[in-house]
Amino acid sequence: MAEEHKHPNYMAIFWILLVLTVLEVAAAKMPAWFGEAWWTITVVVLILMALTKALYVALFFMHLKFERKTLIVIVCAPVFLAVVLVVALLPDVGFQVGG
Amino acid sequence: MSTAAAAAHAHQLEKRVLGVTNGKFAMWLFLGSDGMSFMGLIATYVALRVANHDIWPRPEDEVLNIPLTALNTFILICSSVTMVKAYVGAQEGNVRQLKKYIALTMLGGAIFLGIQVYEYQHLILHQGLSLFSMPDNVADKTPLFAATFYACTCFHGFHVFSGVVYLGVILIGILRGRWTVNRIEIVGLYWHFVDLVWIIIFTIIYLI
Repeated sequence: MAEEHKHPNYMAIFWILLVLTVLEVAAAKMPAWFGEAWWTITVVVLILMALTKALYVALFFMHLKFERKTLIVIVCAPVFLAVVLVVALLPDVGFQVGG
Repeated sequence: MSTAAAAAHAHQLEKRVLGVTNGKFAMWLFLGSDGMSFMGLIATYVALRVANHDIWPRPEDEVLNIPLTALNTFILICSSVTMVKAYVGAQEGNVRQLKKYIALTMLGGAIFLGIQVYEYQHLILHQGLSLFSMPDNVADKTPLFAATFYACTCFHGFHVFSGVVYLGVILIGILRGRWTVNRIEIVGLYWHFVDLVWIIIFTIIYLI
C-alpha cells in the first residue's frame, strides 16, 4: 500500500486524551474554587486543552500527520474559515453587550 | 494500489485523486463542510454565550450533569480507539479482529446515544429544561441556553446515530466478505471526526 506507515502508538494517544479530559473537568471547577477572577484564564486553559485533544485525534487517529501535503492544505481551509466565522460574529456580540 | 481486496474489486472508490483514493478524498471534503456546519452552531452558541454572560447558566449551577457527560466523552474516546484497532485489523488482513472492533465501536456509539437519551429525558422531564423554559434554580437565566444546547448536542447526537448505522452497513459488508481497507479507513475518518467534534462541544457547552 502506498500509504503504508508504522502504526502510531494508539494507546499512548488514548491515555493523553483521557488525562486531558480528567484535567479539563478539574480545570472547569477553578472559578468555583478560586473565585470569579479565574474565569478568563479557565476559559483559555480549557479551550487550549480541547484544541490539543482535537489535534491529537486529527493527527493520529485520522492519520493526518501521515497524509500528503495537498490533503492537509485542503483540510486546513475549513478550519481557517471556522475561526473566521467566530471572529466575524464578535462585532455582533459587542453591539449586544453595549446595549 | 496493491491490497488484495482492492485488486479484487477495482471499485470507483479506489481510484486516486491528488494521491489519495476518491472515497477518502470525498470523505475529507464532506468532513470539511460538515465541520463548517458544526462551527456555525458552535459559533452561534459562543456569540450568544458571550453577549448574555450574566444571564447564562454556569457549570456550577449544575443544570448539566458534567460527571455523566465526562463518562460519555470517555466512552466516545474508547470507541475511537476500537475504531483504529479495527483499521489495524483491516490493514493486517485480520478479519476476526476487524469484525470484533467494528462491533465494539458500534457498541460504544450506542452506549453514548443511550446516555444522551437518558440525559435529555432527565433534563426535559425532571429539570424542566426545554426550548422555552429553564429549571427552577436558574429560572432567572436565559432560555437561549436551552435552545442552543439542544441544537448543538442534537446535531452531534444525530451524527453519532448515523455513524452507528454507517458502521452497521460496513459490518454487514465484512460479514459478506465485501470490504476493503480503504472503506474501513473512510468510516474511521467519519467516526474520529464525530469524536473530535464532541471534544469541542463538551468543552464549550458543558465545561465553560
